[in-house]
Amino acid sequence: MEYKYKKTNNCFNDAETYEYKTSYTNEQLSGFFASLGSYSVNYKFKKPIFYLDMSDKTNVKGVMGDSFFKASFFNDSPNAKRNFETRLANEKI
Amino acid sequence: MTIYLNNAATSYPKPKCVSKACAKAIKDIPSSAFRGGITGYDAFEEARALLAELTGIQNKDRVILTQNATAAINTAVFGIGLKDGDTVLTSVTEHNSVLRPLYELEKRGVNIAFTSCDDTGRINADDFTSKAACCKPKLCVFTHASNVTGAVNDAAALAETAKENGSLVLIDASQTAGLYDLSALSSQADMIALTGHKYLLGPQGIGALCISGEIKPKPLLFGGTGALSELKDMPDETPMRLEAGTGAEPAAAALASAIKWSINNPPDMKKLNNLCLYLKEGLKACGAKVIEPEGDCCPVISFVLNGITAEDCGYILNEGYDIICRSGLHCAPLIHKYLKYNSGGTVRLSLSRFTEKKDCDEAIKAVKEIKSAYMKANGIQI
Repeated sequence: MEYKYKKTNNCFNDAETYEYKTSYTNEQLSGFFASLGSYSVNYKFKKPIFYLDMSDKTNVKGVMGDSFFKASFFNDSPNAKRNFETRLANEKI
Repeated sequence: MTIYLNNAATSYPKPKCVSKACAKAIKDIPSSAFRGGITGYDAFEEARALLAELTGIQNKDRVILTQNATAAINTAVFGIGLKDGDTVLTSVTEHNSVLRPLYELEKRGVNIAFTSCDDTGRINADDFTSKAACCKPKLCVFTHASNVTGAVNDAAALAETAKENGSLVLIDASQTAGLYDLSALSSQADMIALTGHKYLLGPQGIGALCISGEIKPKPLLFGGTGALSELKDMPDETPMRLEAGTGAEPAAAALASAIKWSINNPPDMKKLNNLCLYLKEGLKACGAKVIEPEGDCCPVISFVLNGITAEDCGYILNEGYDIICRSGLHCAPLIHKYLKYNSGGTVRLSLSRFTEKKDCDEAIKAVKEIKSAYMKANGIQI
């Protein structure tokens, strides 16, 4: 899967947050996200939002109908971003 | 429909005349082409004159136009010649626009002393008085109002205390310019820093350092001034001494336009305060812990929700409800441990004169739904 990403603002020093844009909605990527860790969707909000917590503390969230999402990588998992992006790049829908 | 409640960061919307003035300045022949005189319109002169009136500065040439409040504060703190061993007194409520220049000064041997605040973010006047007497600071720099809680400080009284102890005074009026009367402050403060893009309703990219005293900060930038070109040094006279390089004329024209509009359409503070009160009560009713300063307060509301981080709550409001707000530390990292609800950051809703009751209703409804969703997720009965 092709994607673009950009670093976003984050108040805290312990993590770096990036926004990723793909050609798919997050709804379409739900299977992929679910394969990465603890995945849940909250449908109570005006726009449903998904959350993904991975074992390396990476957390991902986004609006189900959007084609972009945010991922926060914690500094104590230095390979987390690379691992996540490898899996995202290898994902075929 | 998007609801904008992030006015403490940058105000939106602006009066229509602001974008028109900006566009006109870009379309018209630049005023620098005329090199002064009385015939051509000079956006810089007009902006300086309006800001001088706003801040009670007698001489408009003592209004230095800068890129923003941060540049104004840097011009002040690095320009007044603080030396190794001098002390600057500030407060824990400050924005990084004040803190980071001071940390840099600290590396150069200047001592930095901090005044505490109460649990709503208002500077502790007794502590300020005590530290001013004890430290004998060369400079006192403090915010007129907290950008986190909106608490407005009694800046005139703090400045008076500072002056009694022989200190220069710099007030950061970024949050209050356009909302509160600053004209009385210039009789106490030596310098007032402000920005154009918040409640002054101007564009980003312009701010000012308004100098009321006799002090003459040294320039931080050196370069062309459009006049006195044979001098090797920066000219002595302000504003050109502190305004090297080409200025942001469209931003100056737009800011001037915004201030003139605001003079004819002053904010209805009673209405704004009532709207803030309504929003605070609504947020509390749905379980939010709201920081509520007593007395004068900017239209800024900080709150936290149990069971959800400020960052997540802000994210859901922004992305899940299209309610633009800010969450986290708000570039004021020291204040949070003093606040009534310290959870490493807050969600901040900041209103403007254009905010309507229905916007507040939407925000309250959203927070209620977020709270409910998180309580259910955590197995808490509601």
